[in-house]
Amino acid sequence: MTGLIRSELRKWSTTRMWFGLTLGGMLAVAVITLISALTAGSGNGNNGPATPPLSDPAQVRTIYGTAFGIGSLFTLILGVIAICGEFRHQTITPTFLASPRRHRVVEAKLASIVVVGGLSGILMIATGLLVGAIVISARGFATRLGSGDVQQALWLMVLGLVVWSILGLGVGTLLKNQIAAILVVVGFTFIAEPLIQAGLNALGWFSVSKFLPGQASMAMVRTTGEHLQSWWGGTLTLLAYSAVAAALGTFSTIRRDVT
Amino acid sequence: MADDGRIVVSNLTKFFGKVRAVDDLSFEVEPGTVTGFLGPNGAGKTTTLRCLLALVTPTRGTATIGGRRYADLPDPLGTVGAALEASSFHPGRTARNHLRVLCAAARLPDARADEVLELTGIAEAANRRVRGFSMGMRQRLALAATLLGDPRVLILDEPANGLDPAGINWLREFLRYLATKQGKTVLVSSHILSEVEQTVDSIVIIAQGRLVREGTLKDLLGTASVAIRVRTPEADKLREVLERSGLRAEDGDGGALLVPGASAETVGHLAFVNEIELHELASQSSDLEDVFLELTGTGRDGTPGEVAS
Repeated sequence: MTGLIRSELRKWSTTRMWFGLTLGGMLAVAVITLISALTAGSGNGNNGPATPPLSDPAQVRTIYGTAFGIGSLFTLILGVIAICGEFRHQTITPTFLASPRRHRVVEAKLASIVVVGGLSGILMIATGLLVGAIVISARGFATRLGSGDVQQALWLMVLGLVVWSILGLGVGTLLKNQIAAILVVVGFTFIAEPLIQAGLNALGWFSVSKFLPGQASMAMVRTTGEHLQSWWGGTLTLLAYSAVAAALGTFSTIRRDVT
Repeated sequence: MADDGRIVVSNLTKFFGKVRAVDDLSFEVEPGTVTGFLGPNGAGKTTTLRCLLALVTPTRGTATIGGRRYADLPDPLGTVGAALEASSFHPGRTARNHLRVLCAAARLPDARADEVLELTGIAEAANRRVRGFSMGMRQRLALAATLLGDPRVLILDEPANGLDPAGINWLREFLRYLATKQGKTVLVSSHILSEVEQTVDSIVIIAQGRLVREGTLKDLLGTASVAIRVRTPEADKLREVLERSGLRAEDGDGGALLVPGASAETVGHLAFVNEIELHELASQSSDLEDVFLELTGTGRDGTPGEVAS
């Protein structure tokens, strides 16, 4: 098993994919954190409410949390590519020849995506933290870096990004096609889920809506919103989605003929 | 005799939906020989090899290597080296790194990557990304990957595809070297007999998923028919003379007559005593390729015909 994990990690270190995606994620985090930190507390033009000022501790956490929303898309893609890239480039054939017991390949990929997604997550969160702290202190507010709630939020964000990469691996294993897997997750979280959530909330079914993946993800970092689970409840919910997708994928896609 | 590397395919059948790709196919590959696995495109060669390598699940029947299914091999890459298509590479990964990924999975020392690159003659391209590789270099890299675990059995699907004549020549000699000097069992597929004709000891020919012929190359050559090709301005007269002697003359190309089953001496003598002028008299054995095409039921133009049994 350690051989297979080493092999999976080598697949990441020997192409530019991981580096490129992580760098792209860091740039996106930097730009959007910069904008939200600069505009915090100022009115959104004449119409629209002003965002809370940086003197509000919750707003400081929100600035640092910008990295999570953007980063989750990037670690999701990493997880999807971990398996779909092999089908796309037909490297799945040598992979399965080296390890004909295919479920072990999925397990090794799971172990390696925790490392790869975690590393990527740390770099993106650190970028958001750096940019956010510089702007906040330049504007004369407290960075609150020493406070316990900020530190806890940071570690939960890294954990959350790892979970998103695992979700990507699970859905990728099920759908096999890279673009389809990314579109399904993003489409569901950003388009379908808000509609479902609105419907459930209208009915007052908050106990159901809090188990939706996007809501579970939000619960992990708890920047906004009510009716959310605890951070570990959110983590377990997202992991459950990943596990179901990966298990279905292992029993369907992975068992299928490789032609 | 469990792990001698004998390949046994028995009653293998594979359906893809309603399409029967392999149909009750049985054959064996003797350890220590080079066996050509031949058939026209779409005959089921690749499907058979993928069944053998646990990439495709057979509908019925079994395919084993040394008595075990591939999925049950404790050390797959150390037992069987397989190259299925020369496109199984990440374009952005270098040749050496592609091999090192496999080294890690099979727990082989990384130094093996450089050794097999050296063996297959692409050591100077070790640090180049596969994106820029020619088809020939990809084939060599695929072959290099099969040798990583120094397995006793090699399974190669169309390794000569995309190779130039010099490359085919190199492949031929390399496979012979692996078989004779290293005692490896090699199963090599091709849709062109002449590619492997000088390399293989035995052949397995399939068409439309079914076994057409299995045996040594010599046996196959024995079935090649011999005819006498004769050219004369008095074709009708010669035809008559031949028929009186119980021989049959068929029309050959270029106005020549073909006399199957005759000897040059007989035809020459008959022409001489009947005072028929000859412009050409030659023995013409239909070459191996003709036999192959006849057996697999494909004409020279590539159209499928009746399958010979």
